[in-house]
Amino acid sequence: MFDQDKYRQEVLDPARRNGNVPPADLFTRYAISIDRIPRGDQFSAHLAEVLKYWQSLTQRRAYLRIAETLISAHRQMDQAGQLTAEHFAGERDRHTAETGQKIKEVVEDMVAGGQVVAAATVARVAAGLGGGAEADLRRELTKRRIRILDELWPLPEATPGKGRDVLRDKRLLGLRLAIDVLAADAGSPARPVTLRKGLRLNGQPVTAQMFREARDRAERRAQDDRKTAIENLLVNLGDAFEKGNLDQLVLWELTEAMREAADMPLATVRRVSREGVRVGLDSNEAEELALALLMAGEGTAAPRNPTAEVEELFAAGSLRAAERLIATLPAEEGVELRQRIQEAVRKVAALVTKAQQEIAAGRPEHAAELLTEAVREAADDTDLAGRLRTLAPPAVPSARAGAASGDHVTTSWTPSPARTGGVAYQVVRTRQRPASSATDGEVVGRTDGNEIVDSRPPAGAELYYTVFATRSDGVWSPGVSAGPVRLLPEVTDVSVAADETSVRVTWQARSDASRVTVARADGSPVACSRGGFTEEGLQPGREYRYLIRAGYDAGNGRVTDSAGVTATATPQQAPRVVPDLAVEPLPGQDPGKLRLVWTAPASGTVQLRSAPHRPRWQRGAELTETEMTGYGTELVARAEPTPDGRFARTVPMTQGRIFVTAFSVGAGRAVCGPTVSVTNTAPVTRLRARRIGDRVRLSWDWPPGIGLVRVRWWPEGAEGHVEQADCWLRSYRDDGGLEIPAGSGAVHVSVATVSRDAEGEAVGSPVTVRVSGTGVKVRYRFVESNRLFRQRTRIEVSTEQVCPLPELIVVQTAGRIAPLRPEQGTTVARIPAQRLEPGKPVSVDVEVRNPRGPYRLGCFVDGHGDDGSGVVLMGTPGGR
Amino acid sequence: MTRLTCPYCYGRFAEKEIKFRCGGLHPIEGKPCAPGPDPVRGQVLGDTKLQLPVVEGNGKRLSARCAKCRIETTIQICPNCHSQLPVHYSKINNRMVAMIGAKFSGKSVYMTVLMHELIHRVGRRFDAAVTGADERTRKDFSNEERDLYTEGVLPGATQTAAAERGRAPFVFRVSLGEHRRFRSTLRHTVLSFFDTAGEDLESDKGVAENVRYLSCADGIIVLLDPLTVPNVMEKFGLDPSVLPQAANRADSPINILTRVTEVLQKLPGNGPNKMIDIPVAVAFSKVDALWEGLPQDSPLRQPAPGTPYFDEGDGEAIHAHVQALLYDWEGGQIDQLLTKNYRTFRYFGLSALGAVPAVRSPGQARQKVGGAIQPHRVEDPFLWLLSRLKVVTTGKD
Repeated sequence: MFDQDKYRQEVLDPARRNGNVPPADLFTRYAISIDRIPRGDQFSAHLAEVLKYWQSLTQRRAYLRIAETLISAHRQMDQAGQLTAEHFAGERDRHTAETGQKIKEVVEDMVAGGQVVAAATVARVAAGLGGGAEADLRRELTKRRIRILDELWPLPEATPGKGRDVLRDKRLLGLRLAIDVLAADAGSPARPVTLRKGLRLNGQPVTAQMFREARDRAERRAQDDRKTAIENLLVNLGDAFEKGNLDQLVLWELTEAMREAADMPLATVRRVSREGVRVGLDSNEAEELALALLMAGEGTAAPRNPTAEVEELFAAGSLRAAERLIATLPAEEGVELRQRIQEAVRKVAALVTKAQQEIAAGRPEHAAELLTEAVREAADDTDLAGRLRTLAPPAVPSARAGAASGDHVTTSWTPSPARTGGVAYQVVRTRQRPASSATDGEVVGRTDGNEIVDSRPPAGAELYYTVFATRSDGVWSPGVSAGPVRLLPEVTDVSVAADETSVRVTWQARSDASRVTVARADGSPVACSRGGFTEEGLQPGREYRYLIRAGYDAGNGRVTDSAGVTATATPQQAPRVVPDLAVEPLPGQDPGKLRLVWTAPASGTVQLRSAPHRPRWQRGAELTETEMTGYGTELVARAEPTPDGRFARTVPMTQGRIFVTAFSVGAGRAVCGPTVSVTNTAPVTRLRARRIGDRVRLSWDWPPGIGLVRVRWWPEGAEGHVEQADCWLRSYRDDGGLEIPAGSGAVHVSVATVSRDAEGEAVGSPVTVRVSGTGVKVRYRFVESNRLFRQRTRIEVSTEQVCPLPELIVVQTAGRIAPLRPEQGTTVARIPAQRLEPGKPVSVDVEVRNPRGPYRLGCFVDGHGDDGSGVVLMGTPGGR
Repeated sequence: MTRLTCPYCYGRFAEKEIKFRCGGLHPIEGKPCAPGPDPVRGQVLGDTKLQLPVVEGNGKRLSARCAKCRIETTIQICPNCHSQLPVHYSKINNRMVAMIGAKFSGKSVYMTVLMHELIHRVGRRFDAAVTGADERTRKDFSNEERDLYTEGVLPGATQTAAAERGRAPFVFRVSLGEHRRFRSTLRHTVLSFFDTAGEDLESDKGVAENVRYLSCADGIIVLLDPLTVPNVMEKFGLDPSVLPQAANRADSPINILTRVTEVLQKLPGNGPNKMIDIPVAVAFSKVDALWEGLPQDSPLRQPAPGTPYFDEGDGEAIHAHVQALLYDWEGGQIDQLLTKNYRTFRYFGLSALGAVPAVRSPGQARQKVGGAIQPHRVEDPFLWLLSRLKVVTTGKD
């Protein structure tokens, strides 16, 4: 039997106080006892009875809002088919869980605020959490030792008589509370003051005897300002005591002491009560007084103007509520507002009529558009909203599905051509066939967009993805399907390890893979487990290829295999350590590159890896390829054989210092080889070379921080004959650069910076220069001798290097000045062209003309310029 | 009696005239001698710094006792300028090498580079120890060497003797040979270099102010800039920017040599019909600018000998070549002047820097070298003079 009065008092009235929010618990909302839930038709009949009661309440202004809200919610659930006991029970469980969580959060907040809370606050908070939450909230607060004050401490409304004088005298005496003057020592009482159940000082009620004793003590004091203040205080307090107002006076004094803290921003009970405790009030009472002060500060709302309330409802789109509320007002109030509301009502009615016509004409989307506009005007018209929801949006024009990445499927579609907003899409996955309804299959997801990703599609089967559009649950557009899509993911993390005669291959297969098969290149199967296989007795040096395929259940007992991944392995002999590794800056090399030269090991392939630090393995240590690849990065470049049978690889040179290690790899293992450190120091700049005879004088600009360079030089066309010299900055400065014995031919010179430290030596990028050659040095000297009083002059030509001697001439000039050029004098002797060898000087007599006067002799190459002869003549001019 | 020459003021004095300076040590009784003004140093060198008292004594002895503090001192000073003499100055060879040259001929750079070469490369060649003979030389030379070799900046223009009365020469001590048990070949020579400002030689007055300096010299290096020889720039097709801007206005080598010759002719002992006996090394600097214009077999383009003696053959070849070049360049005026007035002279070609320095940009305080200091044959004139003075031996390859 539905008890309407009890229901109104226990359910509707709290809901009204809670801002017309219906109880979240549907059993409570529909006045159904959880112990006696009606079944079948009885359940529906009960709901109909309750609905009827709500409709009757719409005639009562006080219950209009809550009744309308309840009716609207009822219709919505009715349309969704949710007016069932099961749905109520599910909602109750969900609400209970949500409320429990919220209560916990609220309790935490309240605990942080202080140890006391007003009952009104609890009720208000509980109402926000839904009906029935107050009891739970109170229980939780009690558990946390939070006191709930059903009645706040009434605060004094005005300043009591002589209150200000009492405060002044108290401050003058430095007392915390004025009644402390009654204490025997006129100081701080040993126990806090209590007031709520009558004023008690030091646990004792205040008596006239206390005043007498206090006056006696005051009389015994010497006359001073303090004595006067004490006497005044005793007079004022005594008056209040006699009139029975002492409690009020003390309470006022306490509120004055705590008010400043209460008026502070973000004041809490804990913070305000601290002020009360500071002046001697009991801590519990201080919290209660603080709560009263803070609650008083919140104030009460002014009574509302009904017309303004209607205006507010109308502006918020609650047309029906505004319409009903204004009907309860006197006719002379809100005339203009009344007109506007009526106009809106007429507009909505016209829209609805037109929408019905559109539906009848078979244009539901046009009707939806009109109803959307009507709902915008009357948002609280649940009937209108319900009508709109019953209109399914048009289906999406097309849908596509694809598995680009191999392990998930992306479905996209062209948006529905709906004329209204609020359209959502639900994608349903089915096997073998498209979905016939929005719930026929696995719901992949729901979105407002036009793409959805199925991150865990089953592998092997043919999958269809069907897209349904909706404005509301239960009202779906026809489905549009995409597919079929079949996922056949490959095995992953394939790892191949080969030693001298066996190959081991491992991989990761998906858990839904039915099987994994492996076949050799010739198609013969290889026995394997789900995770790998090992094949023994293989031939070293031969390449073996394996096709690994994962099979998936395709339905109907069939298994479909993936395309497969190929693993290749070559059994190899155990690798040997790389004998040597060197950095060799060679002529013509790009300064930004590094040339690494090594001798190939007896077995294994060489892999060069660079890292900013040395490898942790000793030279010759054996390690796995995984360990090796974890060290640095591989220097990838084509290895070229060198004339001396070694191999060289030119790689880009990174900035800073690197360590390059040569690993020998093979048979699934690696052997750590030699390590060289290379520092990409800045190269020398402005390298200049000047030939001075058979020597070359070099100079360059030193980069900052470099104190050593390595100079290498080699004759042009003979790059294998490299000579080398190190030059320190000190000797470079002291000796004026560097002179190298370059010989007479053209040479190439490279200068590379060198960095030495505890790690060893690092050679930087070389800078090269070509120095053109000079002629072979041929020395000549004039020898004079007297033979039988006849002076004889000979020229002797020698060399330190075999050379073809061109024809030479001896030129004589008169006077003291030696000839610079042949044409400056007379040719007096000739040395025919011939082969000149070291230790075999050529001597020719010179017939000096007019030897009596001063003359000079010079030797020149006949008929050549400075550089065309291939020799450089060195000697002292003859003559006297 | 052999008279000594002060390496600082070039005044002559007898050994016994050498004075001493108190060491300023604390005596057992009484107070130590306090520094005070030394009017002689102020008058001769323009040095007004306070000095410890001068102690009179017998210069032939190596020590004297201060009359005031009664402490013996071994600090010998010149009786003329009161400069502290190098240790055992009166007991070892001392040679004055004067260096003169026109403004912007590169004297200061040459002297710094020459001393650097003597200390390092040439020092190793001759197994010689070359050190500064006094604190000022060591300090100032180190500064100039650092500026040039480390900082890479050229020295500023040298102040004239008139403008800087206290400008003191660099004094170095060269130790050659080795100490043996029965026959030591160790010999020390004090070398005094006086860096003449270019302007000193561009007027008769300037030259006259250096008379004492030249008259005391045991050898003279005359540094000439071949680029200031008329027509050389055009003959070699050189870029005019290789010359310092002001060098264009510098006096020609023949004028400089003429003035020097006249000064030397006025020295006591010389007459109108007497040749000047002081050996003169006429060195043409900056041959690096002419490098490409010289034939490949030019002796100037050959490296200096590395022999531990002065190579006379190499020197003669250079001399004959430069002499011929002079005739080629300017018709032999210089050679004629030298031939007619000097009994011993020798031509040289050298480069102190090894390359033409970069042109000074407007904001630069001092001109930058612009590369390594790569001197070429800077030591040749000096070694030739030392060979003439019997400090180093002579040989012929």
